[in-house]
Amino acid sequence: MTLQWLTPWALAGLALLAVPIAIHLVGRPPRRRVVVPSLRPVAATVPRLARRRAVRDPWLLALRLGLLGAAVVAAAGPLVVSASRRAGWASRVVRAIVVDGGAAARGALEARATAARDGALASEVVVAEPLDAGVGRAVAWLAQQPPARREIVFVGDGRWGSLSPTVRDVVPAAIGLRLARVEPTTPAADSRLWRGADSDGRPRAARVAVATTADGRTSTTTTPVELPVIPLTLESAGADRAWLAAVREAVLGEGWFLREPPTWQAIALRWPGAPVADEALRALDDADRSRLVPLAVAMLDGAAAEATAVPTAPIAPTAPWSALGGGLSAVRTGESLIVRFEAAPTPATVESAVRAALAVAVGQDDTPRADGGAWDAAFVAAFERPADAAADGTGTGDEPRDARWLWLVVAVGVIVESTARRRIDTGRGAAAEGAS
Amino acid sequence: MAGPDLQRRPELAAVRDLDVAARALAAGLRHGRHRAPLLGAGPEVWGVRLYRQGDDTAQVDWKRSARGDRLYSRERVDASQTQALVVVDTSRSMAVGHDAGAPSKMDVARVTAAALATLLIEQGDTVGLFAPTSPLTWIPPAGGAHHGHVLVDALAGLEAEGAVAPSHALTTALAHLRRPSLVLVISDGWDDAAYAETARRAAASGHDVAVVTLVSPGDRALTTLGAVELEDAETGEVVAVDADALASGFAAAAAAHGAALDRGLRGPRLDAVRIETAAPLAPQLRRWLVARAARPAA
Repeated sequence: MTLQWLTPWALAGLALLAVPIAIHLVGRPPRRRVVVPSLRPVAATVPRLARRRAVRDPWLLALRLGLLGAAVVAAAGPLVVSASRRAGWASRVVRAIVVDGGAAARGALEARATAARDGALASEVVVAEPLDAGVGRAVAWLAQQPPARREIVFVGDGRWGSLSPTVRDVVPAAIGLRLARVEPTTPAADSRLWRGADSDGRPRAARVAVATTADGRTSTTTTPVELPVIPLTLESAGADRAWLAAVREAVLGEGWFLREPPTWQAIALRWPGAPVADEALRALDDADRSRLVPLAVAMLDGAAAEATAVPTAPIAPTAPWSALGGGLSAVRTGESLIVRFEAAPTPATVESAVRAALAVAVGQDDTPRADGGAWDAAFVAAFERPADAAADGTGTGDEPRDARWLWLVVAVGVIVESTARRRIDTGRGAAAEGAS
Repeated sequence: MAGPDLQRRPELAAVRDLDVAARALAAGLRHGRHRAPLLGAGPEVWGVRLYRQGDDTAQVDWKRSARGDRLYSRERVDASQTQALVVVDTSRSMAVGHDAGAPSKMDVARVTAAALATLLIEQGDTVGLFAPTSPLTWIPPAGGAHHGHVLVDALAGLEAEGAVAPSHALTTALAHLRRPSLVLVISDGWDDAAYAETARRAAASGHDVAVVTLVSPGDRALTTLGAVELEDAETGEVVAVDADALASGFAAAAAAHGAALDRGLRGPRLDAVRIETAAPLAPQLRRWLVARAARPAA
């Protein structure tokens, strides 16, 4: 059994004990002046007098010290941590839920976040993009919660780079970490408002609408808000739609269409086994075409990517492949970028990979997402950890029961002190009147 | 009749008519009058001084003169008439220390001095008065009813306003005396040890010294309680005290002071009496005079 303080800084109030002591030692009550024939008898009694003054009204002083001390201790929130109480804390959990604000499947994410609240003594949802940005708020909120096991649940679509593995080292070890992955869905139609800034720093925005046709063609229209229309056409075979949707999410998610030259560029995606988007390219005017960055995404593994390179611009890599992590590598050749997967990826992995590849393509490979991994089995196993069951009762606490008795003592003591003080004053007054 | 009432409340007598009060008190004391300071009718040697031209050779103290190279004459006094000097302490402490229902020590001192002076004059003695007031109150010893009125008037005008210690006042008073006298000292005795020492020295020099020490309730114990500031009537010094805590110590110290004073006022030709101001004055004075008359001659 141990004793903890919920607000230990309040113990500094014990310094206030000096106040009543000082009052009883040096405080001088109002005095009447009495003329005596001589002070010689007083002088003979001075040593005894000094001792008596040091303990003037000692019971009242003791009562006041006890009152003040009890109030300070009560304010400090004493908490007797017994085995049963500790077991009670360990049986409950407070949970911070960090939701990926950049993921597409918002509805599913919200549903999953709501479900994550179940069974928690207290929970808090933090929406952040990337997820790393919400970790600080989650840890701060957990620190303010009553004694219980603490954990953070990350809810996202698990795409590449949405959560840095270094988060595990940043979060206190006593806090558990869990990942709740929501499979991304491909919306039949999507519309997003992208924001950015022009070269003068003025805000700009555009609404990008993506539509998938019945025959598998996906078209995107950008409604000018203050931006020129940037056409983007993605073509794919029907079987590749899931991958193509992931690529589209990656492209739109990075907001490429709002970036000013030289980074503001149109992108043509070429897809192995699919018609080259020559028609779309032809639809572009010369100015747009001049800014075109052909992007080839090879959804094949290893050397096959090179063999099935973009038909209109055969890829002849001259630079070494850049390892992007997660079994992904990329190489830039001329104006083309080839992304290579070591194994057949999931759509979420494709999206994360394309985001990373695009960052490499425009020379922004320092994006913080570049070092993130997709939430595959290996990542999950390395990242997740349970909450420390030995909850120590830190936090503001929800168990003031231990202090209630002290407050009751203080309340009774105040009444006793007031009564005693009145009696002392009354007694002195009567005695003084009787003597005079 | 005003007498008994004035004896109970002599402080009123000081205001109304000290002469009446003194006569009333003296009448009550008459059967216990004081013993004469010089017994026998013949001349008595008072002291020795240097021989002066014209001195009777019978007065020459040959034994004393033989020890030196100069002549000394015996100084003799006529003891047929007692000379008395009343010395009244007028220090500020005489005005304080009284309680409700009790007169101040100064009031009691006035009545006591007036009564004793009246008693002495009525029996034919000469009485003088000395008080260390400013200016000095000094009335040479004389007799007669008129002189008695002069003394009483002077006593009525005395106020406890001075800061002269009783020992110093007594020393100054004795310097005015040219012959052995009955010296009545009336004081509250709140002085240093020199007070008793001076009285003993006066007695040793041939005077019959009677010390009347007035004790008020405030001299015995603190008459107040609680947190107070005590001001010394003599020096003006102020001390903040808790009278509750101080009471027992103060009483013990005051008792010790009184005991020490009593011990210091013992000796040949030295008589002392304590008069409680809160108690009726006449019985106390009467008991003292009776005891004094029964005292063997020095």
